[in-house]
Amino acid sequence: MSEVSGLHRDDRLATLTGWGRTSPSRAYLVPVHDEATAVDEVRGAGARGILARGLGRSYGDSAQNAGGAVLDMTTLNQVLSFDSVSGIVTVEAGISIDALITLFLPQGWFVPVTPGTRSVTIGGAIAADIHGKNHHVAGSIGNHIHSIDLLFADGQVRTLSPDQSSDQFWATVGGMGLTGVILRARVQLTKVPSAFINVQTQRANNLDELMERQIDLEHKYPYCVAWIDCLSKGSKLGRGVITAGSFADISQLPSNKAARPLDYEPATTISAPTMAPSGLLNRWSVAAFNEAWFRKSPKHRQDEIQSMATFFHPLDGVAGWNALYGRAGFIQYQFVVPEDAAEVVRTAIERLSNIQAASFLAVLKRFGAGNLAPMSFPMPGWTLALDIPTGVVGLSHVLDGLDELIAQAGGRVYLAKDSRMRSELLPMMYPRIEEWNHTRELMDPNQHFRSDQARRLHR
Amino acid sequence: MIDALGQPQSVFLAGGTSEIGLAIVRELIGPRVDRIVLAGRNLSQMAQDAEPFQVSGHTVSIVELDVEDTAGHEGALDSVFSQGDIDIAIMAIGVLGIQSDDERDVDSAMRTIRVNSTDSIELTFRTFQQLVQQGHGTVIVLSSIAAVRPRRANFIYGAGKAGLDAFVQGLIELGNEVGIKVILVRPGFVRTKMTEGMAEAPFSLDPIDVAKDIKNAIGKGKSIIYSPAQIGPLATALKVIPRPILRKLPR
Ligand SMILES: Cc1cc2nc3c(=O)[nH]c(=O)nc-3n(C[C@H](O)[C@H](O)[C@H](O)COP(=O)(O)OP(=O)(O)OC[C@H]3O[C@@H](n4cnc5c(N)ncnc54)[C@H](O)[C@@H]3O)c2cc1C
Repeated sequence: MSEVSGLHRDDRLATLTGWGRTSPSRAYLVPVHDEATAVDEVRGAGARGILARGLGRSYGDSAQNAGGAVLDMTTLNQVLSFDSVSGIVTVEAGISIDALITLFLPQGWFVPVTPGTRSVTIGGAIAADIHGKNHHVAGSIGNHIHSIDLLFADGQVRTLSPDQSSDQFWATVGGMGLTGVILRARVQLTKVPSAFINVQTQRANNLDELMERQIDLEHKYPYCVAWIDCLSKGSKLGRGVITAGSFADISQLPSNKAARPLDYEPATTISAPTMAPSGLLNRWSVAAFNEAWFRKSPKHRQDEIQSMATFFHPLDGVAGWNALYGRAGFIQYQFVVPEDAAEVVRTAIERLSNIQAASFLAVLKRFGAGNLAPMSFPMPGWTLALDIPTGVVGLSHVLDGLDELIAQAGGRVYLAKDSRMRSELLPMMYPRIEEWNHTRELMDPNQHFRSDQARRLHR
Repeated sequence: MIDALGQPQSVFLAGGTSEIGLAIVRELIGPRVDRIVLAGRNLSQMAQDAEPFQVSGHTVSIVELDVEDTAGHEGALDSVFSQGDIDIAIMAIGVLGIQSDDERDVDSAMRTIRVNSTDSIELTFRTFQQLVQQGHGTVIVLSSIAAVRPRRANFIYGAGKAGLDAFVQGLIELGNEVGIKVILVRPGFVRTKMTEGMAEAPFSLDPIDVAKDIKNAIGKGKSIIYSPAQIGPLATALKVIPRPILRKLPR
């Protein structure tokens, strides 16, 4: 086995994890500066296959490919053209949402969908079909992509759109990198009057109230989300704070801001300690934080002007916060259940608080309609997302139980966050998977495109 | 793949009839393991050992492997790994030998030493390389307390295990560099068929105890495990106890 030496001493070998810093694996990491590099790598892919990776903000193992090649797309990050009339921008897939906002918000254009962090690439956003606080009105990012240029397993680059080769387009949206490498995308930006959000805040004392108010607020505002204090129990279970809002009109801004309504400066970040002792985020510190945060939040506040970054990306203010969970890392659990199965949300909070799976805050949102992508996550109903340290005793068992409950209710777990679900449940959660398998089979018959997550789940 | 909560999907046991090895497999398999590979010499025994796993819904494949037939290692491992990734490989290989025979018969002694040392090292190293190629994985190697502190009653076996033990200590470091987790286990006296009829040493334990210790230690991120844990400090103490006193201690 003399060929073995290759994997030992090669500068390009890297140990990769997702944002949760669990399940590391090794792969050849190839920076992609141009299309030709990507094409060469795809053509030369070995037995362990190849995969595109963006900024590694998926939590689990979806952007890893053990023993194979991983294309670092973040170096392919230019804006190729922009039409200031239609707001359509053509970008290379490795550009970040942060860069897009920094470039275009001062011109009055915003990304159609933003996740809770600006540090994701457009390629990663399309591959996960990400959603944001405006899902109930705007849907997920796939709904705002005019076309993509996809590098196929055969080394050819083809343009896909919802009208042309639509099966392949929608299999790539939410396809988690398994249909090919997105090289470029034409993205529809959204016209905004300012770089500020007019925010409404309401506090709710329990889950029912929280859901009710959220439904009410989302009828009125394009952006809406609730934060739940997962440590409160009994009659306070599910208490939390809803924030909703819309981009502020100039008339709503105070005069200093109204003078330069599109001024945008990304908030300065502070760094988290690089290697925190794993106990730093223990149950008591989280409980204390949540209590303070709940009390600090106004019962009811109207028309507060917040910066775009404060409203959408509060966590981006602390660089490397994922290191706070220490060496063992953490998982994020996000699921959605149909409207009529809202009680699963309560069960999840109850069961997780019973095993003291401390979570700073859980995020609750109601999705609107899903789209045509067979593997897309969002569907009408309630979605809950929460962070959990891996060391919690009994966690695996509780999550396995919740997975089943969710699957039975017709819901699903979000693959961009998943790092542990059981493969048997995938077809139940994603009932259109056969359709997707079929398209993938046509696009990549030998499964050149592989990920650790695919090895774990697609079996 | 091993998931974020440390749960494997496939386990490979080299030394497919080893009681300690099988106990480790039983302890490590959770709701996600669907593939178990047993590799060893005794095909019919392995078929028997496979049954309970099959009954509980696991796919078990059996691969013929003779650790002394080093020329056959590569072929055997290729068939183990060709069926899919291996998340955890357990190296439970080696023979105790019959000390009284080995003391009189150098050929016999050398065989005991070879199996436990170079043959085991070769299989372990080849398995390690397969994991490196795969880009992920854990290998658990069964050494012995006798490797650290050989006694009058087992020094020939101990000499062999000492070779393996030293090698694996280095492999832990190499593994760190190339992303493969290597775990070295040094059990004390374990009650198995292999030790049947022998006088038990203090801290004797059953295979299941070793398996539990391993599982706990993996959870804590340890790479060198004594089982039971108390024999770790004891082994260190034994190193400094003067030989005349040591001789008077029970096994
Ligand atoms: C703090 C935080 C908040 C978040 N909030 C949200 C949220 O509100 N809503 C939401 O939907 N998600 C959210 N996420 C998840 C995140 O948006 C997704 O995981 C997204 O896919 C990350 O993009 P990335 O560039 O980091 O991709 P990576 O994590 O690097 O990759 C993710 C997947 O995309 C594939 N991929 C990446 N680039 C390409 C390409 N060029 N071509 C083909 N495939 C590619 C990879 O193979 C992989 O399967 C959040 C994550 C964090 C850390």
